[in-house]
Amino acid sequence: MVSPEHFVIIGNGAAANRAADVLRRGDKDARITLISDEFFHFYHRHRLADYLAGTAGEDDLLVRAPQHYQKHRIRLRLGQRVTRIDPKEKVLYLKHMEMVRYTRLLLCTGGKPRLPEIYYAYRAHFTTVKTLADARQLRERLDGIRDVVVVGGDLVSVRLASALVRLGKAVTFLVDADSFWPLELTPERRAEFAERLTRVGIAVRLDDALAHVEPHPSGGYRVTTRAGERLRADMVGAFFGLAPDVDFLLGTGLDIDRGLLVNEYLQTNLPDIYAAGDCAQVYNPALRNYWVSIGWPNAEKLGEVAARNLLGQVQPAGQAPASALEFEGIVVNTCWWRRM
Amino acid sequence: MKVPRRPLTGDLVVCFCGRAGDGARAAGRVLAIAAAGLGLHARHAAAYPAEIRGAGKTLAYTAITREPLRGPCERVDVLVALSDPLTIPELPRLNADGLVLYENNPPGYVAEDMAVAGYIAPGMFGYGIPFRDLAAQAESFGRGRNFVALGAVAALLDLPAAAFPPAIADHFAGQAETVRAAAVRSFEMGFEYARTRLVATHPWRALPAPDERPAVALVTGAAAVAAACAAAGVRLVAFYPVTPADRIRADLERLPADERPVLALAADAAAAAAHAYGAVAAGRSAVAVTVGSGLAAAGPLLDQAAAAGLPLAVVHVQTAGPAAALGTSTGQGDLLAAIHGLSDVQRPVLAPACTADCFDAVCLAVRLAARWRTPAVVLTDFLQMERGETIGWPRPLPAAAAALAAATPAPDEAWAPPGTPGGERLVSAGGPDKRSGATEAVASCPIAVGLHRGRLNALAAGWAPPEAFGDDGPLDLGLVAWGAAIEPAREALRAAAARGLRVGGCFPRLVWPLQRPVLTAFAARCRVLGAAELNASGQLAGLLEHALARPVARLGRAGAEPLTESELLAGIEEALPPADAKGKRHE
Amino acid sequence: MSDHERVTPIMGTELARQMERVRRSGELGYRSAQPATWCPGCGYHGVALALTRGAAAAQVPPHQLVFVAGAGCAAWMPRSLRGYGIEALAGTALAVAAGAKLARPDLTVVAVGGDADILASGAGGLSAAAARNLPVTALIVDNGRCGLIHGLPSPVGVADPLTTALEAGATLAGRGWTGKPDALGDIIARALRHPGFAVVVAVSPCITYDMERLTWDRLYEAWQPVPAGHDPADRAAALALARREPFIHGILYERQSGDRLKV
Ligand SMILES: Cc1cc2nc3c(=O)[nH]c(=O)nc-3n(C[C@H](O)[C@H](O)[C@H](O)COP(=O)(O)OP(=O)(O)OC[C@H]3O[C@@H](n4cnc5c(N)ncnc54)[C@H](O)[C@@H]3O)c2cc1C
Ligand code: SF4
Repeated sequence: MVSPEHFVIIGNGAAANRAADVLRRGDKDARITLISDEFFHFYHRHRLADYLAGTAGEDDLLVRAPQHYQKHRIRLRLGQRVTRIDPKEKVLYLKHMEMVRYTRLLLCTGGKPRLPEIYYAYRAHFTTVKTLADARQLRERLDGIRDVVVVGGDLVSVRLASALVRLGKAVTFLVDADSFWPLELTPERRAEFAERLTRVGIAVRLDDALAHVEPHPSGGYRVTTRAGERLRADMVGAFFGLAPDVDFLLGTGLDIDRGLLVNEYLQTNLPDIYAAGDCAQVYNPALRNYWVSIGWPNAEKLGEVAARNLLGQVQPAGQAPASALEFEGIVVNTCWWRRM
Repeated sequence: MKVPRRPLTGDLVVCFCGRAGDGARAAGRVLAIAAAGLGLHARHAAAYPAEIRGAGKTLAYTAITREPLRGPCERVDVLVALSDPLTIPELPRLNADGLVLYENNPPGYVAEDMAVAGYIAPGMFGYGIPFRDLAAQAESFGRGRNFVALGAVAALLDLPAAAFPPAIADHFAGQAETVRAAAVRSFEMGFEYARTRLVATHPWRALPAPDERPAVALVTGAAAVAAACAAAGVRLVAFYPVTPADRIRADLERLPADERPVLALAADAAAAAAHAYGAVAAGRSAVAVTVGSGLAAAGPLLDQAAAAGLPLAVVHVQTAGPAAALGTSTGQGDLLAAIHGLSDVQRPVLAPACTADCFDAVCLAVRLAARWRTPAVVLTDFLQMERGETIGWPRPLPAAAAALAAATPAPDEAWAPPGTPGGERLVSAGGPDKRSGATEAVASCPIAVGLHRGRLNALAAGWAPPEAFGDDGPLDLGLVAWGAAIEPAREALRAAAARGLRVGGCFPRLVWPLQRPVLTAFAARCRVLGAAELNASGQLAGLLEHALARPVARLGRAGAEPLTESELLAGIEEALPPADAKGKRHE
Repeated sequence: MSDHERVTPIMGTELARQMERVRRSGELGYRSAQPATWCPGCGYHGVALALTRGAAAAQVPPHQLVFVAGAGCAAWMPRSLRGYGIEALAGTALAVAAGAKLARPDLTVVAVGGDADILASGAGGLSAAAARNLPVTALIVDNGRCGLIHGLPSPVGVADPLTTALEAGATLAGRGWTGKPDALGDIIARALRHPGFAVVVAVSPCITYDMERLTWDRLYEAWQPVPAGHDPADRAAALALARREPFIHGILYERQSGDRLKV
């Protein structure tokens, strides 16, 4: 018998894929659809730096062969953006004007590069790397890049900066107290961190930050630091971590704070809509508060929990795994709390 | 750094799919012209599948290759959806890493399963493009969605944009400048959109054209027929204005005035045959073009021509059924009708396999008709007429046609053409003309019928042996194919042979009269004999069964869409005798 | 006895005068040796005579003449004349004639057929030839019957062939009748020389099957020439006349500046 159930998952990352697999295992007949506005198949985001450095090809990034979806009868809609949700009618509206009906919806829309508000004015001048498309574009530009200035400082920035150094680029890293926001690095930790970056070949400006950036008349950019230093750069990398990508959901009636607010069973405030992964802000009964956790293992875990709840097996998300960023022996916890 | 190019091993096939009027054909044709201009080999063809719900559906295929083309397009690399509902059923044809372009801003929301986007399988690449919006920006009527799509295809495949405006001009030759300009603008909009937004995302490209340019031109079957009429010195070509006879007319009109035959626009197919009949009776060579059921309408005059010994050549375009209102599609169902008229007379039938063959067949038919004083039928089909291919061009008159001309006796007193003083005579089927005693009453006189048959047998005996596939050894299966079935049959046999099967083929262009000795010898080597043709009853198969007194497997089906290599391969495997434990096959 | 002696007894008689006239006219050169098979007394005999006179008067040599005939009693016409004959099928005479003319503009082509042939199954050929203003002559022998098939009434009924031809766009339209072969011959001669599509209607009794309508007696009485003052360049007047007066003979319409053969 054909199950009337149609599980629709927005996203094609770690959370979405784990959820789809668990759903299929739990329900052999339901229709399952993954929708993502990225064109690529499910890939290891954390290897994008290797890809940039040329030590990994596109095929190495692939998590699994496309045949997986055919085999498990999972409909994969790639390069298609969901623009609107009608939770009353249970319909999704896609950018190309197609309507998709769901019976249960799981939002795994992940995060998008975060940019502190003070830097909004320079948005157009920054390079960020979230997707393979971003990485590809950067790769095409690499030949024309000699000097790089990096601001912020998440794990992505460190990996990328090292990759660029290995490619022979001159990288200057501005490290201050706000780097690794929302974690505040102690001065000792900062010094230790700077020291390790220097060892890799990165020029570090400790306790300095970006003050101003503008295009250089002869190409590239002119960067001014708070300390007054002027730097020339062909690329200004802004790496302030990821923030939940939920803007398109504003106005649908979903409770949104920094991310999608869900209870410990990953249910949103609207019936039959769940959220998991980087986009979710999960209630933690022990803390009596919501938290957002960024990271691959976390996304997988939440994807699995959401799927189980969608299948009717009541399971709480529990304590968030202390997913950690690790670089050259320094461990930085990436979980950030709402009111920290 | 450039995105790596995917080496395309076979043809790169682009398919535009839309409703009649969406301009799928035009886009496919322009792509082929541009590719030919770049020094690539190209082929474009349109199919009009007779689907009940898909009335007016057009599939325009364009194949681009670096090597000369071998077979028909089957798998598709790029599918352009000019109409989503009509394109959805075509997705299974797309290669695993194929590319789908679709409209991403239709006038309203569509239900879930009505958009192509929902069906794009994992591994394929689907790109939404606002065809409508871009077309509207390009020109006020916004009709150029097809050219917007073509622009996007060109950008994604990395074909140089500069090759397209001349190709568009070529396609719209003779039409208003505004039409051409609007198409070019639409193309540019699509090209820019894809170049700036999609190209970075797309992982594969077409290989660039080789430096060495082949000496070829893009020619349709209709153009080949037109050129052949001129090359064979045909004085009059008569036709009723129906597609694709009108295409032949258009191509004839493009010929230089001093080479161009007289074009007789007839009131119907019977009148077309009558015009040609009048011309040959007046001592000039003439061709009547018939399409679909028009052959039946022309039939009585063809019989009359056989009876009167008139060299009336007919180029008949087979279609799948009468199909007048539903859009014409292709078929091979007219073989028996072409051979047998209403009387006891038979007609020689030549069936071309490709565009170059179309040229040769018309030249040969005109010449053999004159040589043997008989009407002759060139049995082509809708697909062949519409399809464009890069072939060596201009094409010389086939040697066999020259040989036939050399063997044709000069008209003696009995056959004096009108205008010859003292030669007055009657062109008649009713009985020997008392004044000249020249005409045989073929239709009514058994002796004359026998004489005519004798002439046809002599014709077959003197004909060059048919194309053969495979070696001379014993075969588990031998396949006879004619007309448009030859190309897929050849490829299917190639694939079967590659799998280690002992198969061979015999592909006559002279389909009737049968070249009996050759066919008998071929059949004797085959454990199973099959015939490939795009008709449901197996018309050639039946004729072979009768002539060779053995069963012939039917590898065909009813017409509409051309036969494919894969279905014939499946048919071959099914028809093969089962193999025993030692791998030997038994009947 | 010499030839001269043989004719001597009739010298000076009316018969001798007629024979001399015929010899001089050259019309004998257009008769074949085949005896006609039409019923004795049939109007076709006169039409054949008129054709020979017309061809002679137009000075077209026999080897330049092509007669095309379809079905019915008219099918014998090419056999009884000298020239190149083409036998076509029912309804195809004009289309075959068109093909012959298009391929051989040097020839003079005449399609001969009964009303049941050219106006019924051959109607498409008539309008096509008129549309092109093809310089061929259609000789429509109107007896209102299908003579060869037991005199069935013609499928076009009593529709007037000349009106049909004019409406189709013939640039020469003439009507004659077999009882006046000289006059009919003149009309045919004009038609053969006409540079466009010419239709000549030859009214002819079928004595075997028509005892009432187009009989010799009736036709002799009814027949009259085109009224003086009729302007053959006036198409509207010609149409009105053709409709009003079915028994008027002469050239009703002729557009001299007919378009030339377009090839
Ligand atoms: C460069 C880089 C390096 C990283 N390295 C590490 C690491 O080493 N270790 C670690 O634990 N984590 C790492 N992360 C973080 C990790 O990749 C993410 O936490 C994880 O991928 C989150 O998975 P997800 O399924 O929640 O969302 P994502 O993987 O972000 O997927 C969400 C998808 O949803 C799509 N989407 C969003 N909105 C819509 C919409 N409206 N319509 C359609 N589709 C939509 C997005 O395009 C995206 O494809 C890294 C991230 C980056 C960018
Ligand atoms: S049947 Fe009538 S028309 Fe025919 S030949 Fe006899 S009389 Fe003349």
